[in-house]
Amino acid sequence: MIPLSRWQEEFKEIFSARVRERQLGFRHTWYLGSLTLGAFTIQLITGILLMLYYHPSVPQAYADMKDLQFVVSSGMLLRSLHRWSAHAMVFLVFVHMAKVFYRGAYRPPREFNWMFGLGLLQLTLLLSYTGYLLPWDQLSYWGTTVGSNILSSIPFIGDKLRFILLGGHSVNANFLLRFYVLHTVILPVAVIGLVAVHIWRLHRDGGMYSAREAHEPAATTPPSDSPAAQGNERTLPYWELLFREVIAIQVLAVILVWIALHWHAPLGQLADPTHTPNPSKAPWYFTGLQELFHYFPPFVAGIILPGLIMTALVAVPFFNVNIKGESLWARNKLRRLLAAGVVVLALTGFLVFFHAWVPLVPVWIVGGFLVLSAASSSRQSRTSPSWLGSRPLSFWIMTWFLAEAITLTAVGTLFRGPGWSWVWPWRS
Amino acid sequence: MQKENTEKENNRDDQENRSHDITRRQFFLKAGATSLATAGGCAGVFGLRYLSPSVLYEPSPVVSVGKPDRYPVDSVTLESQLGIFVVRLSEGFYAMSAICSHLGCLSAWKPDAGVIACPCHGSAFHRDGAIVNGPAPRPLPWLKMWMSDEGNLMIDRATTVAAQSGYVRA
Repeated sequence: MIPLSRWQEEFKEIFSARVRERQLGFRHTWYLGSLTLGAFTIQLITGILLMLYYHPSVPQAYADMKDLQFVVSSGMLLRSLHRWSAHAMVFLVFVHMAKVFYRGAYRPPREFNWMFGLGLLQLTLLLSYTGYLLPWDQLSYWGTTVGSNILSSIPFIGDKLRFILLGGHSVNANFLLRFYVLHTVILPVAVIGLVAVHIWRLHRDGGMYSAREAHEPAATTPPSDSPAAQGNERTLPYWELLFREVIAIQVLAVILVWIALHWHAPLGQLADPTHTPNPSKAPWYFTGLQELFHYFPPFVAGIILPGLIMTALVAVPFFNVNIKGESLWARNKLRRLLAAGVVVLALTGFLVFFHAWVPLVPVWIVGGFLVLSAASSSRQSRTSPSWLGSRPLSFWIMTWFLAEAITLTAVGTLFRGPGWSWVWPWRS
Repeated sequence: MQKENTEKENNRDDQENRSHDITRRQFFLKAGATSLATAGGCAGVFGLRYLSPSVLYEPSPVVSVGKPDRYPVDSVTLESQLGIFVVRLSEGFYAMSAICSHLGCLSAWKPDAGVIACPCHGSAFHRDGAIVNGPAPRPLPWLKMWMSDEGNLMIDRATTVAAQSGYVRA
């Protein structure tokens, strides 16, 4: 029998031995990282159980969905739980990223963990995308047909890449099997590895980002284990953190089970290559992308724009202007205002050229707030500018990015009908 | 310094002879790195080949759509099982892919609007394949079509021909 103290030692390797009281405050992190991990744990458990009744072959895969619903005891609950916790995980990953960003927790020494987090974001999206095909219903079939054709749009190697991914020329049994292997082995193993590095790195970088660290220059903050950091601030033993995380995950699990009991995971008709449903919509977290495909060529909307966004996100902690967190209007105000005007006009020109009216709206709303913030920063004294006037450049870029994501997703989900035409949701 | 110089002079001949030599450690490092790189490259090539299936159980691209009199003059017919349009005008027949050139959804003929429309991202095409509207990057391609000896209309779905390149007479 291994003594309890030995287990405690092991935990201390993963979590900090002691945590500062401030780090544990709910309002700092909303426990979003723990909750995301909780959603992933539910995914692992339900996913492994679902594998016991699922055959990745055509058309047996679809029949297994029906079996899970009508024959297997608790099968529908497990499948619904798997589906809704997948949605929850995608949602939580995005909110976690936004929260970390707006608190400035991506700044050195945490820039590596920011990048590991971005890797986990992409893996999460890939997991939900590969899982989407497995029920082999109409939406799976056409959603992945569209998705795999994005690969074909890459010049020169696109068709070859698609052939290798699909194991054929169209979405078929080979493709189902390949996505099954990706979804159940390769991607989860990658996520588990990256989560381990993510948590270990968090511990190395001084634990959860605290309010105190936020007000100090990033580089001078000592790690939480050093006596200087602990100072006369109250510290708590590590299990306080563990308890809170477990409670947060339990609350999430209760909510998800409640949702899964009340709403079944959707299942369409059996995949039919001879009929594309109209409208053919992706799940909500991809309708923003689908809306982009309505305006831009596939290579631009599917490869270049996501690539640029990812590059921008990776680059954020490496620019001094983002590290300092200085107000955009702190100096060279006129020149910066001019530059912002040029950027807004260039974006407007680009979007008008492609007749992309929907993404234009957030550009002008964020641009309007930008002007407003410049105005408010001049009215106040330099030492205490208004909240809006003191925002740094990174705040504006991220806010614009999130505004675009939310607008496109909302329009794609609610305002698009047959043939991707504009509809008013309250009139249907 | 002085001593080193003398030593160098003394060993000059020796060193010139040995300048292309490498130590045992360097040799094994290079040999190891080279074999690892070779193995990695070969694994990559064979891996890619392994991932590309050599045999596909996919339907033949050459299909028959039956006798010409199935299709009325001035009609656009979607053969959804085959993913093609068979169009009959007064000049004759032609066949077009019904797979949207945008992202691969199956498009459909809308007689009311007189266009071929894709449900996924809103592309629309003229009945000769030309783009009318939407994000499609290319027109719908015309497919090779001919009349078999038995009098059936044959279509090769893997071979495209230039649009308006000719009609098949009934």
